[in-house]
Formats: sequence, structure tokens, C-alpha cells
Amino acid sequence: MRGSEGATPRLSRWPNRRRRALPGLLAAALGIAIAAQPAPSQPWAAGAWPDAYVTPPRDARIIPLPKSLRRLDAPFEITPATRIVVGDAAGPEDLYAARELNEEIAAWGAPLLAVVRASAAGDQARLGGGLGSGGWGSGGVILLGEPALNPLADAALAEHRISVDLRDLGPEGYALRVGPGVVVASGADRRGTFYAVQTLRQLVERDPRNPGRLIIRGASVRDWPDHPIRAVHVVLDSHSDVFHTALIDRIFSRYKFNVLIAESEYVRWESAPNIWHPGGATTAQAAAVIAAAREHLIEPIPLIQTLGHVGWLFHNDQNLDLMEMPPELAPARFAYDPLNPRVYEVVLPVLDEAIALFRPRLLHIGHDEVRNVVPFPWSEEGRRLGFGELFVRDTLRLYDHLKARGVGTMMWGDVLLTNEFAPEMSRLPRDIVMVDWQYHAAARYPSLDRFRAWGFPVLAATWYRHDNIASLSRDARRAGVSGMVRTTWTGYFGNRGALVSSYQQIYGYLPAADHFWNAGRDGPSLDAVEAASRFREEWRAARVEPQTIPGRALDIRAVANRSHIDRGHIDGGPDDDGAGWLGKGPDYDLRNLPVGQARFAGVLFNVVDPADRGGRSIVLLRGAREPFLAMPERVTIGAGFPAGALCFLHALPYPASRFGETVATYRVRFGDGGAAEIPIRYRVNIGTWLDEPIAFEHEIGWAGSTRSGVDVRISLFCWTNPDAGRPIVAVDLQAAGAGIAPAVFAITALDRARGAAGR
Amino acid sequence: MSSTRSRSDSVRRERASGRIPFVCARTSVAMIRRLLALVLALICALALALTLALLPSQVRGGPSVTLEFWTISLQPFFNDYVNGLIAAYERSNPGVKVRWVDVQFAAVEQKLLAALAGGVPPDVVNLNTETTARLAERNALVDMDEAVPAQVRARYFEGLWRSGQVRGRTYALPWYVVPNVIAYNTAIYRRAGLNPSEPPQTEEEMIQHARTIKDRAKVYGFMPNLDGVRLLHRFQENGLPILSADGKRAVFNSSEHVRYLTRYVDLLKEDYFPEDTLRRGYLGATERYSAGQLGMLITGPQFLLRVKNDNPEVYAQTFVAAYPRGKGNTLHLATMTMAVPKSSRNAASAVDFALFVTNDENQLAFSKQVVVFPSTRQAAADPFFRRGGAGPEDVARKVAAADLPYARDLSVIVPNAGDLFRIFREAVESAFYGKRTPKDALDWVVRQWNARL
Repeated sequence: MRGSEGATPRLSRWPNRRRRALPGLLAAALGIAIAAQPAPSQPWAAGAWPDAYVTPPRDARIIPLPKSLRRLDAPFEITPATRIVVGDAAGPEDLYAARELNEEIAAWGAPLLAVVRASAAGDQARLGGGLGSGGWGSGGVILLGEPALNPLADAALAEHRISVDLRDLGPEGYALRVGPGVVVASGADRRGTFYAVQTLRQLVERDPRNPGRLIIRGASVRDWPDHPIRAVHVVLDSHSDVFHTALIDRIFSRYKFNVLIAESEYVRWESAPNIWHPGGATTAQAAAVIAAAREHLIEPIPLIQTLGHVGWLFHNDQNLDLMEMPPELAPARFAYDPLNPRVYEVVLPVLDEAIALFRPRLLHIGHDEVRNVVPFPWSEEGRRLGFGELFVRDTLRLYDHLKARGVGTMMWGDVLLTNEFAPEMSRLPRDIVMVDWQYHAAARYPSLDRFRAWGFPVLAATWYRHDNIASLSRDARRAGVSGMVRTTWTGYFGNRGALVSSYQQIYGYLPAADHFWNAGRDGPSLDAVEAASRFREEWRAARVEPQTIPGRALDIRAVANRSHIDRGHIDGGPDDDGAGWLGKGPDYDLRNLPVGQARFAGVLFNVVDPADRGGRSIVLLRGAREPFLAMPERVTIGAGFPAGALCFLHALPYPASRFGETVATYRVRFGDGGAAEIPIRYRVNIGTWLDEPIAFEHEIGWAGSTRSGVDVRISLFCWTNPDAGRPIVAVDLQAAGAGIAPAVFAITALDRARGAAGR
Repeated sequence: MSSTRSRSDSVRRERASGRIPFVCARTSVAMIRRLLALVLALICALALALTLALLPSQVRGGPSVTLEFWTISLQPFFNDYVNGLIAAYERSNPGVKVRWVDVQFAAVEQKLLAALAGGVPPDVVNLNTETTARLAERNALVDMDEAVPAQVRARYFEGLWRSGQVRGRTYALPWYVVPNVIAYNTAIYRRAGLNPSEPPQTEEEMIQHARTIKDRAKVYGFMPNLDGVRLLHRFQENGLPILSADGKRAVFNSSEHVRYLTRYVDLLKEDYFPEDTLRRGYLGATERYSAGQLGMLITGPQFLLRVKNDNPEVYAQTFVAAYPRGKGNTLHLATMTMAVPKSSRNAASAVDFALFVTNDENQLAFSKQVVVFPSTRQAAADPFFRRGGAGPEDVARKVAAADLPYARDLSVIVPNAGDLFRIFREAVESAFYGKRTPKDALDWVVRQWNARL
């Protein structure tokens, strides 16, 4: 999370050691968790800290941010006697919403609540003295459902003069009120109620004044989405039944996505066993994803790539006669020949199977980048007809087939944009849903208007960059398109490693959820560090329980060999050595890193103030370029006490050459002569000082900026000691000869490891 | 069995050529003592075995060497040339097989990185200079200054030999170079009231022609080469530097740089080039030109073949002229290189094959297939390059050859280039798409580069 002081330009000679964190109350009011909390500057603390780790405040923001949110002072207390009340005619959606709420409560360690029908609860309420908050007995009630379906919710809303009307809130809109004794979560429709519950889940927390109590923060919310369709595109593979079902449960539904576009060409379709890929999902695995999506009120839409990007059709060297370019000439197996009737003998049965499995309203037929990889058309007849004719013929062939089965057609829009001059394009039916992918940030996206002017329904598709998502969502709202899609490109069979190798794409779902719901804002809702941290918390599906762990700092002063602040060659004064950080001058150093005792992501560190140590505050190890050539290959830091965990505040000055490369080994030596080696691997447990969070386990300790405004980040890596009882005599920091090696800013030993949920 | 027979055959060949020591022959005359004869026989066998072990495997006829050879976008138009090249090499190097893999330009770096990471690298790979530099930085390529003898290095133009250089060492052989030319549709020129015999001489004139074409002929006049990092080349072609003299700072945010970028941003705003210019680059431009929907195409002459394939009618209307120069009076000369990954199991053979592909004879033959120019002195001196002709490609060859004195490889070689170029591209796009002013975009990207350089 971004440190509150990171962006503050420094004008004084040395970093101000007396800067303070934002007052806690202000931070709490803003709902922002503070990562770096510099404590008052103190001399080096040699002794133990009783609070070397304190669970950081939870990010209390509701994502997506509701349109109207009023905090109320008094919370609702959840007790074992609390009941969840649904309407008498509650459908599966309401019951599922109740179950989700119960799951949330269980995640906090509380017992599941009773779910009752309104008629039963109403009788008890009348016996208890009416519908006012005092009439529900000691446990209180959580009323779920549309007012028309749950009279108790209707009455509670009326009591607070809250209107929940479809005409007013629109589809998927909802109102939510949390007060003492009564919670009412009521949608304008059933999806609205479901989303009210998703918001409610984010208000559950431990009472800060009494952690033994589980509460729902007091709030009054009115909310509705800006985009009717908020889709995520994923590629199914043999890990989808685990990975994507978890994403649906923990992320997609919780953050109010409502469509899943599941790219499915490598599913092992029964009609084409000769092209099965071992990494492809089985139909059972695909069915598990579809079922999870439906259960979470997410509409599944299959995507089968056709015309271009059809390598799946030629897998196992099959169907090579269908290639547009003869295989012996083609640089890639990329496109099929739409003039070959056998193409449709293979492709159409696959579409039929997808329809049978997904039961979709729409099927996405791909059709993007058809001419980007191989010359197309290639055949003589194809060239005579021209690209536009071939493209439209193929589209119509598939469109008609789908239409005959009651399924609409969806396709990528890029070919239309780049071949708009082809007259044949005018023959495309205007009920095809065009997905206009635009992966750059822009003030305006004229293509959206062009599709609208041509008469197509349009979805605007982003990739994962935050500014792309924010700006496209906003302009899509202006253009009046049908909704948004967040695409995911982790390879055809990349789901297993996606949390490591493509984590930016994965935690990027959170800002997408926010901007798809709220299209008006341009600025970031969650920055990368916040989104990565929040995703990690959600993925672990266990709520943060406060922890306080004693510990102590390891003293790096004796081996510190460089300052993290570069005075540059500005004033020529006695401190003008130009030898700080990377020697790039004061605009590109880490002067905004708090010094002295400072807390980073909950861990207390003692960051050496270079002013106190003759300009030496950090340890740099030897690398292959200046200024690292002159640095030692190894340094040893003394300890002399047992520890359950060692936490390193460190960063690479420059990137290593490849993902996962070992850039250093931290060797922990024990008093009994034994040792443990910790490999420090690029983009696994360390990033550069400029990297966004890049892997699930890659934790950021401090995020700030340089004086020139460049965002910078220091990694935090905590190693768990498997044998916490053995005294540690020293820690060796050893460069791995990879060309670049870490800079170590501080090390803290914790008496025991942080709980997983505490991170 | 076949292996044994093959090895014996090769020993016979080697003996005949005098490359096997004669110790064995002498033993046949040693009649003195049987024991000594036996010892000598053993020595003979040992010497033979050692000699065989030291010989290249193809000479031994032992397990054959298979070289995997990657090219960029040469299929399908140059299949015959490359297959012929390979066949010739295999004929003169028995035991060596070459497996050719053609990779699309956009995919080559990612595919190569995956192959390197997976431990299955190609042996010889065609790269551009920027990718060469990125891989050399990762210490992934064979040092050609070390692997190639000085007299062989001298066959290449010195400047081009340096195009594969990183920190003073060369990590790839220069292959062919491709100066850009301008192809233009004479029918569109006429529709716009422009004289087809007066193509634009300068960048400024090209912009004026593009405006005229759009205003009068109602099709786009051009798709300027600004996608990716090509704006960096345009800056340099206009005399605007990218890095400070010591290479440690980015300097492309001066008022002149801002003015240059602003000019094109305004042209996009005024709809004088299509919005997919930045996204689709030369591919989009070639498609649009081939469809008869673009007045001018700035291109490497080799892409004229694609126009010819896609639309012979447009090809027939195409004239070619020299690349319209900017104020710096220079033009970017893209250099293709031939590199050998360090992790190749057959690095020595791979270097040998790369030298073969880039030798005078083969480069000259390639230049006769398509409008590219050789990187070796002798091939470039051939009278063929001064000859003109009637077709667009013949004209392209002549005008490009005339431009060579003004051309140099303007690729920007920086550490951590992948990140730096991505940042540059995103910033430039943000200026074109109205998220930042050109000044803000260039200031921002300069700061980002300075933190990373």
C-alpha cells in the first residue's frame, strides 16, 4: 500500500526523521491502510520490540465503490442468535446470497447463522414488539430480498424512508442499511439483492474496540452499476476447475462481474478427439466452471476462435488440409480456408457441443487479427474474392448456424475497424455483438462511436493496465455501449502458474471491477500495490485476525556500505559525493523512504539514517555494473537470538535477466553449526525498486516516489524459520553472481512467523 | 552398424588426406619384438580414438549435427531461397542437418526467450539489432568478436559489424540491411490532383501530400511510422538526440522533440492518418495500401511483394521513390542480424552456418530475390545494385542504393530495453490519444527512463 509520505518532496538537507504518519483517525476516516508508518526517530534499538509485527489495518474500502455511501456510527453486532431472513418466495438467487453471507461470517470464525423465511421471522417480530430495531430479539436480523418479495425488508426500508424501485435504481441496483439490530439488503431485482449482499460482506469486521465482537459497520448505501455487462474473459485449461471456480467465488462474484467469456477452443470436445491437447480442459472441467458461474449469477459465454487464431484446429497435425496457406508454406498454422466446406464439418459440431454445454444466449466466434500472422487470402480463388468477401462469408456461415439454434453471435471487432473500407462488411447482421478491444489509455475511443454508428451492439474490452481500464470504461459509458470486458491473456494453458507469472493481470481484476461498476472516474481506485494486497487477502479466503508479534532488528550498521540517498553533484558541499543509491542524483533516489523505526506492511524495521552513519545506510552486494562492481560479494550480519521468521526489506536496483533467477542467497547460520539457505529469486520474493507487485508472494513493504515523481517500491520478504528454537548467530547475504544483486535496507527478526491471513 | 561403417569410411578419407598421424603405419614395419608391436598397436588405437574424438562430428560421420535455424518472416515468399541455402550448406557439410523455422517478427523475441528458458534454443537465429542487444545484455549470445577470426570480420562493413554491438562487443553477424523507400499509388495521386512524377522529397512534403490526398481523394494519404518505438528513429532522422553523450540520461523531451511529436498528434486529431496507425504499424499500412485505400506507404521494399500478392492492380499503379528525409538528412537503416545463442549445443557449427548464410555469395543471391542490401563489402560492390529497371522493386533497389550513404542504424540500444520501450510506447500513445499533452508525455517518459538507465 502506498505510504502516506512517499510522495512528499524533500527539500531539506537530509530526510526529515521527524515526519509522522497521517493521524490514525484521519486514516481510518479515509479507510486507507497505511503501509509505512514512521515512528518517532530514535537511536538504534538494540533491544526487543514487543510489537515487531502488528497486523496492518484492513483496507476498509468497499470495492466497487458504491454510488452513495453514508457511514453510520452504530454497527450491527453479529451473534449466534442473529438470523438471516429471506422472503417467503425466495428463489435460488436469494438463498445463495444468504449462503454467501454465511460463508463470510464463517470466514471470520463465527458460527453459521440461521436462515429463516419472512413469515416465520415476522411472527417472532410481532411477538417481540413490532418492526422497530428493538423488536427483533437480542440477535438482530439481516433482511434480504426485494421489497415485493420480503415484507419485512419492505417494512424496514419504509421505516428509514428508503426507496428500492427498479425504475429508480435500475437493474442490479440495490439499497443497504446497516444499523443496530437490523440490516436490510434489498435489490431492485434479484441480482440487486445479490450485489447488496456482496457489499454487505465487505462491511463485516472485528470491532476495533472489542476484537471479540464481530460486527457489520454501520452504513447506508444506494448503489447501481454504470455498465449493464461487466465481463471477464478467461481461457479455459485443465486447471480451470480449480483456478477459475475459485476466482468466480472469491473475486468475480464478490466484485460484481456478471458475465464470464470462457475461451474454450482447447476444451476436449467429443466431436474432435483427434485435436485434443493434454493441457485442454475436459468437458467436465468446463462444466464445473460453468456451474460455478451460474451459481454466482454470472452468465457464461463460450468463445471458440474461428477463421484466425485457429491453431487448435490443427493440433496433433490434424486438419492440415483446412489451412488457408498450405502447411509447407505457412509460417504458422493460424487461419483456415473458409472456401473449404470441410472446415464447417469440423467447426460446427464443436460449436454445437459448446452450445449444449454452456446453454448460452451468445457465442463468441473470435475472428480477430485474421490477417496479422499469415497472408490472407492466400488461395487464388480467395484472392479473387477478396478478404472482405471471405471474412463476411465465414461470419455469416457461423452466424446462421448459431441463429438456427437460438444463439446470438459475438465477435472481436478489430477486423472491421481496419477493413471498414471493404464494402462487404455492410452485409454483417447488426445484431452481432462486437467486442472492441482497445488496450491503450486514451481520452476518447472513436471506434466505439463507429461501431455504434454502424448499428452494432458493442462491448468495450480492456486488458489489465489500470489507466486503460479507467479511460475505456469512462468513454464506453459516454458512447452508450452495452458494457465492458476485462480480457486475460495468460497463454492457452497458463492458469496453473498465473498467480506467479501473470499476477498483474490477475489482481488487475479488482480495479476493473471498480471501474466497470463506476465508469465516471478517471483516476485510480486501487493502485497496483493495494490491488495486489487486497487480491491476496481475498484469495486466501481467510479474514485477517489481528496479531502482535515481538521481535527485534538485526543491526546492519557495521556492514552498511552505501546511502539510499544520492546528494548528486548539485551544491558541491561536503556531502556532495554523488555516491548515493545508484548515483543518479537527488531526483532518482530513495530519500522519501522513512528512516529510523518505521513500520512497513506491519513489520517494524529500523532503517538506518545515512546522516547518522556517515552516509551509509544500506547493504549493496556485488553486481556486474557500476556502482556494484566495487561492492562485496558477501556480508555477514550478526544476530545471537532465536527467531521464528526473518523479514527482509530489500530491492533490486536493476532487473535480473530472467524471471525466477536467483540473485542472492541469504544464509542463516545457527549456533549449533547448521545453516539454512534462502534463495532470493527475481520476481518471486524480490522485485526492482521500480516494479509493481509481480507475483502472488511478492509483497511490497514500502511504496513511494522519487523527488522527480517516479513511483518506487521496496519489497518485503519474510522467511519462516522451520526450526524457530535454534539461536541464529548470523545471516550472510551472498550475491549469486547473476549480474545484479539486492540492496538490503533493513532486517527484522520476529519471534514467530506471521499467520498467512495476517499478510 | 551404420554408425561403425560410417566412422571407418571417414577414417579412410582422413588418412587419404594425410590428417591422421602415421604412427600406425610405422608399426607395420616393426618386426623386432611382438610385445613392442602390441604396445605400439595399443598406442595406435588410442591415438586414433583421440583423433576421432577431436574431429568435428560431421567429419567423423558420427551422430549428425542438427542446427535449428530461425528466420523472421521469410516464409512463404523466400522458401526457395532459404531451402536452397540450406541444401547447399548440407551438401558441403555432410553430417550437418539444418532445420528451418520461420517466426513472425512480432513473436520472435517472446518465442526465443521461451526457448532459451526451456533449454531448447535455436542454434542460429535471425534478429533485429534491438532484440540482439536485449539478449546480449542477458548474456545469452555468443560473442562474435571472439568466435569469428579478424580476417573474416573484415568482410563486413565496419559500421554494420558494430550494429550488433553491446558494451563494445559484437554479439551477432550483420545480415541484410533494408533502407525504407516510399511507395505511392499513382491513381490516388492523380485523383488528389498531385503529379505522380513529383513524389515528396522531404518529410514536410510528405505531410503536405498526405493532407492533400485526404482532403481531395478522401482516402488517407499515409500511415506514418510512429508505432512502437519508431518515433525514436523519427526523432533521430530529424537531428533530435535520444540519449546524452554518456548514454546515462534520456534527453528526448526538449522543445524541439515536443514540437515534432505535437505535429503528428495534431495530424491524428485532424484525421490525417487512421487511428489504427499506432496499433497495427506496417502491417496495417500494407493492408490498407494493398486495398487501394492509402496514398503512400513508407516501407522496406521487401513488403512490396505482399502488395503484389494481395492486389496486383494496386501494385501495377505503384511508383517508388526515395524515402522522404527529415531535417537531420539521415534515415534509419534497419539491420537484420544472425546470432547464436550461447546455450546452443552446437555453437561452433552454428557460427559456421551463420557465416555461410551471410557470406558474399549468399547475400548477393538474396539481394537479387528482394530489395535488400548486403552487409559484406564485396557483395555490395556488385554492379547489380546500380542497375535500375521498370518495376517498382527495380526502382526501389536503385533509390535505396542511392540512399545508403545517408542511412545508419538508428536503433536505440539501452539496458532493460523491454521495459524502457514499453514505457516509451505507452507514453507516446497517451499523447496521441489525448491522455497527456505531448510535453507531459515526453517529460514523464524521460523521468521513467532516467530512473532505469
